[in-house]
Amino acid sequence: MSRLLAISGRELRAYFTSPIAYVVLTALLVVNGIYFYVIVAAMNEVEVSFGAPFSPFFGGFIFYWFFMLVVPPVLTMRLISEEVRSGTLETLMTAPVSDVQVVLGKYLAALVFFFFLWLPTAAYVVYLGLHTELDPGPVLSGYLGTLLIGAMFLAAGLFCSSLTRNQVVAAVLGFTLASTLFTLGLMEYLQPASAGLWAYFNLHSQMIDFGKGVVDTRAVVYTLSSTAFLLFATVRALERRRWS
Amino acid sequence: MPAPLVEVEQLTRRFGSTLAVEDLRFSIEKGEIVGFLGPNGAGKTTTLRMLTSFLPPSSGRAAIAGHDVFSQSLEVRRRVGYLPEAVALYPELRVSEYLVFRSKIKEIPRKNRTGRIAGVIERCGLGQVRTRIVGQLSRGYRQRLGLADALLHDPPILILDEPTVGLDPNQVRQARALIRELGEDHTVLLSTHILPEVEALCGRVLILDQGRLVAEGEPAELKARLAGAAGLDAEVRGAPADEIVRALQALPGAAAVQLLGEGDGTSRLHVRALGDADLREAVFRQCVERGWVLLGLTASAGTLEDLFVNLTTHEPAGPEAAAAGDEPDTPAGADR
Repeated sequence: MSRLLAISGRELRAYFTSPIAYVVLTALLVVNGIYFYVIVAAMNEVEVSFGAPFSPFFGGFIFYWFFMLVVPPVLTMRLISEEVRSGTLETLMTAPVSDVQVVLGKYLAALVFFFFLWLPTAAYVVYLGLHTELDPGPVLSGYLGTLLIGAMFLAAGLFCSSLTRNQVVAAVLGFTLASTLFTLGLMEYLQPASAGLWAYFNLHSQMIDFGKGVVDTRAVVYTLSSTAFLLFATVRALERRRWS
Repeated sequence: MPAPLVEVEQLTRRFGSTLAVEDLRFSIEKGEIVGFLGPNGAGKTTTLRMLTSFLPPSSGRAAIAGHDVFSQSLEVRRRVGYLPEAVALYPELRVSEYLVFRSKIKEIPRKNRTGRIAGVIERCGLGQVRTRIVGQLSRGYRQRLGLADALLHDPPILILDEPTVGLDPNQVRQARALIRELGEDHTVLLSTHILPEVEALCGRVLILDQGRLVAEGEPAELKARLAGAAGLDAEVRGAPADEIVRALQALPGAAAVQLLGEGDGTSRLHVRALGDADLREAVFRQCVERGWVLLGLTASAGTLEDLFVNLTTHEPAGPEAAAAGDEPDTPAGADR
């Protein structure tokens, strides 16, 4: 466990010493800030009806999905491909650490950093809470949904990073895989005959539910099991590198 | 009798259809310094990567301290200090931070960490750069940091892949002194294509060519094997060079005559003998008979370099081209 944490710690440090962290953080805050302003402005209009005040913040708007699909592959693209390209993988893998520890250590770092990116938005919640009555349930479930879907896309991105030594290729692959998983769920709206089946994969509607305060077990199971599968695939891909 | 520290049996590695290492067998006893010698692309790095569990063998087996490199990989990695050919480090860390990170993943207990790190920093001469960013270190310091990392967990066996490549002559001397010192309490397997390095450091040499072991023994023993096939260097004046070459070539017992240089009417030649014939007298008589002046005559002992060239040259022409110089021109990490 301490070896896993050492790997996570080094990765987290690498995030904060690279410009990517600050660029992503700034972009996320700018767009979320504008979006928050729009929501608050809309709430002041009498004719707009709202359920939970924060529900449109999570999943209702295209920018939310833009970030959810773009940010995870950008965070994960470097994790394995850069070690392969620079040759540090050899130094790392000849130390007494297992492939599982390497993959989980790196994944944990990405997950912590992703969580950190969303942390400043808590200021909006606090601010809104001071001026209006705010039900904490939907806000918390909104963050939970974001973290679960983020976890799944980060695992997808990490898997793609293990497939190539080129970071840009890893990012593009990660974005494609995450987008495919996302689009798959949208089939619910297009195929009414099999809508019930596609609903299991519909991250879009699942996230809207999370934003409303509905924690659906199916959504939790789907995201967690996909994450586990993608991480397992990453471990296998890392093992395979050595056979080629 | 204790089992050897390193045991390699029928070790083979393929990359696609290329056979990188074929049917390798050798063993290394505790306390030895063994040189792994071969031209670029001979399979040295591939073999070392198999011994450090980085690459699985295609067939055959290798074991370190009785632990199989494939099925007991973590046990092997705990016992091996490895300096890869191209030392790759995390550029964003400071030297001391890098060693702290490595000591954590190498399971060095927290209470011993500071002491171990201070020890390797001192031993590898990293004191001055302790707080420098790794990405800004010079080649020599990067190499030392790699070696410090290899020593960090005090492994019984050190595997060093071309440890002196890319260093300046002073650094090469320092590195060799350090390796010799390490050899006193570690078993060292060292790959190189620099011959004087092997002669200076190693108690035993394994010569690898095209993935196969072509010779094995003590440097002195391998040299002795050559002595038989030795020849002599002669300096002759009194006739055109080609005439002298033809005359000496005709001597019974002479295998080949090579013109090393001419000038001022003097020709310098190398005469290689067949078997262990001693040609000195015959050459002398030949010169006297023809009225030439013999300015110099030396029996040349075989060098390890001659053996290396003999063993690893496949085209009959141009042994000079295949002789290893001190500066490699292949980019690091290009061959595996």
